[in-house]
Amino acid sequence: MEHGHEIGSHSLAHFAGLTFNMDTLIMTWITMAIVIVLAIAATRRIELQPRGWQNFLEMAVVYLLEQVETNMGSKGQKLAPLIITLFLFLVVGNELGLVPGFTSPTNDINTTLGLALMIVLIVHVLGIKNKGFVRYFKHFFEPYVPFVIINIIEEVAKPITLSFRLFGNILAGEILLLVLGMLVPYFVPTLWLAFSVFVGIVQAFIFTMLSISYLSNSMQDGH
Amino acid sequence: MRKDSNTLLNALSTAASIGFYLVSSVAAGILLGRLVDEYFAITPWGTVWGIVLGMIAGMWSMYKKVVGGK
Repeated sequence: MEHGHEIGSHSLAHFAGLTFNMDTLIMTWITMAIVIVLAIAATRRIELQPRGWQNFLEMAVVYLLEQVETNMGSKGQKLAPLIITLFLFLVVGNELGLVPGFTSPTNDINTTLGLALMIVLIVHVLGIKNKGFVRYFKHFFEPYVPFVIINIIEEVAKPITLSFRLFGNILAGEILLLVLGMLVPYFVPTLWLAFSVFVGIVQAFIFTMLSISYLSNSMQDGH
Repeated sequence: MRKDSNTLLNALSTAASIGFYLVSSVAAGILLGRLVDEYFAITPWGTVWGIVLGMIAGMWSMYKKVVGGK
């Protein structure tokens, strides 16, 4: 393959016996910086009639708060900052890859799997905290005892579903963008670029919604 | 208007995720099956049963998602 922009390959760095995907790491930092700057820009001069960045962020925050309230009730309010940050990180991260010279941090399975494992871990910790150890693990044996194997497979499948969907969609989108750029330059890649903007937002939304759905199951008291 | 867009986005997320339940459950079944194979040295029966149970688990979680709305 001729040299140029390559997607899916990473520049590696070795430190303390660990391997780091440097491009993913740098893009993750850039994404975090953009999210922080966005949040500061949107809240620096809060007005009753939102304008500019405040308008954009307020729309996302109000919508997500509504989803949290509907799915988790008032108890879910304390998880709202996590959900909103997750959504903003994913939106910015997904769209970053569409900027020439940048790649999405979410086109690396390590990022998406890390986020998914974080959510699944929180789900279990909250479940045990809210329902108690015995009552939480009892639900693995429902509706019948033999279902325990199926329920365990389902739990293992949760992070796989979450992470591979996001990773696959973003990586495939970027690869297709490059391939189309080589095969049919200008018009078709521009169309695909516009569609990728939509895909990035929808995938961030799906990840967030599924996280809310998983978290809401562990927030219920089970009465 | 707000309610309509909520329903649309939720339907979109359900539609986009439903196929993945089947695939990821089978993947999880294979993963656990291989671990069982290695631990008990019963290759390939762990993987075989992992795939079968993964398929059942995929159908079960899809059923719960569609019928139970979970």
